[in-house]
Amino acid sequence: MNTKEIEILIEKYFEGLTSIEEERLLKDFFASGDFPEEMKPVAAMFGYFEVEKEVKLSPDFSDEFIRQINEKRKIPFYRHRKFWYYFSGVAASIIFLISFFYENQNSPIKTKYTNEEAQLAYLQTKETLAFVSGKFNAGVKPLHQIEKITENADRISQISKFNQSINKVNNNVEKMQTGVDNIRKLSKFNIIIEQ
Amino acid sequence: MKSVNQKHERSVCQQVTGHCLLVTAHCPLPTANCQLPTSFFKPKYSPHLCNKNFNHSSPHRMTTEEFKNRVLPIKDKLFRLAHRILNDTEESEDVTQEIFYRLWARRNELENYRSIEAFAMVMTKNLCLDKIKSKHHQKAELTEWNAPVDYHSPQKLIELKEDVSNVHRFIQLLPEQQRLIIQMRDVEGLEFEEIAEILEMNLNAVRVNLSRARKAIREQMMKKHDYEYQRD
Repeated sequence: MNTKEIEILIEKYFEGLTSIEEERLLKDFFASGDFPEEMKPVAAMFGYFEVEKEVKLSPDFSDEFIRQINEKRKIPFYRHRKFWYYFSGVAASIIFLISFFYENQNSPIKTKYTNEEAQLAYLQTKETLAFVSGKFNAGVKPLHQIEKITENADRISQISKFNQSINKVNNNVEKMQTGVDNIRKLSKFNIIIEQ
Repeated sequence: MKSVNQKHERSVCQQVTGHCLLVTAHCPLPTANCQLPTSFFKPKYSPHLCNKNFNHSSPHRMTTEEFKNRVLPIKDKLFRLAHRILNDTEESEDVTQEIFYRLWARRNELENYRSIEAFAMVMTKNLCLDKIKSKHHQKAELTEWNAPVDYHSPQKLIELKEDVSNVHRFIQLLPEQQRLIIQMRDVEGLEFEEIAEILEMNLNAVRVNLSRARKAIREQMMKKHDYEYQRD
């Protein structure tokens, strides 16, 4: 392919009129590296496209994808989702109804106890209650500590009285301070007047 | 009866059938208006003739092995397309994977398509564009791109390295549709008919936009060259 023919092809190329085959010819021409200086821009374009053609995903994309497919195989139930919703609803209702009717057919609840059983029950209950009250007393002991809190509360109230008197002293000191400041200001004023 | 060449609209099919591929429930495309041109489908399954009882799925179910051999090989093309739109490697990988999940979900219906590759590219394009619209996506940031230097190439090509890197930048500056056309023609080598189908443009519009895009790149390159020559 001589330069003239190439130039014609290049013009066709930029008009969007070249075929795939012709574009391949141009590509080969530029790949040889043997082109005039002014064709550099076009050569660069073809070079770029050649590089971009080689861009690929990582080689294990396919295997990775297949692996994920196999892992996530949908459970057969999933296909007939609606069916299973209704089915389970109906089944639940049926089970509920059956157990309801079954319950009514059962033997009546035992209502009478023998005298011995009653006494035994009474004694056991008494024992249990005694046990519980003992535990209760033991549990109450730590609560006696609360009395100490009231003792300490008194002490705290004394401290607060002390605080109050300190605050009064502070206030007086502040008043003194402001008085001193005022005197200073007056003295400055005096100095200015003297000048 | 509508002509076979007319674009098939979703609403039409919904009236007629519950099983058609193009009905909302089955349509794999994420965008609101599914407008797959009829040419996408093999002639046997013209959507205008579909009826309720007609099952469009192929008689056999696609196995994992078949999927691996017939569908997975297009993964690089899809990735490159996604990357051209999104400019982000990680996101493009995610998109590609998502598309394959969807393809896998429809694997038994893929038989109906004339070209699974074209179909997948449409899905990819739509998903990427949706992503750009939905989240507050930074405008196609001009990412750094450095030409890999192949030391076996002729000297002249090594010198071109900077120019080649510039081409990348100039393509990113193109309007979206032109970017896509460049990608599909100059990188993927698709015929105009396929590009027109995927991008839903007519043939002449594809050619005109391709021409504009190529010229724009050349112009930018020459501007840069002139600037450099002036500096010397």
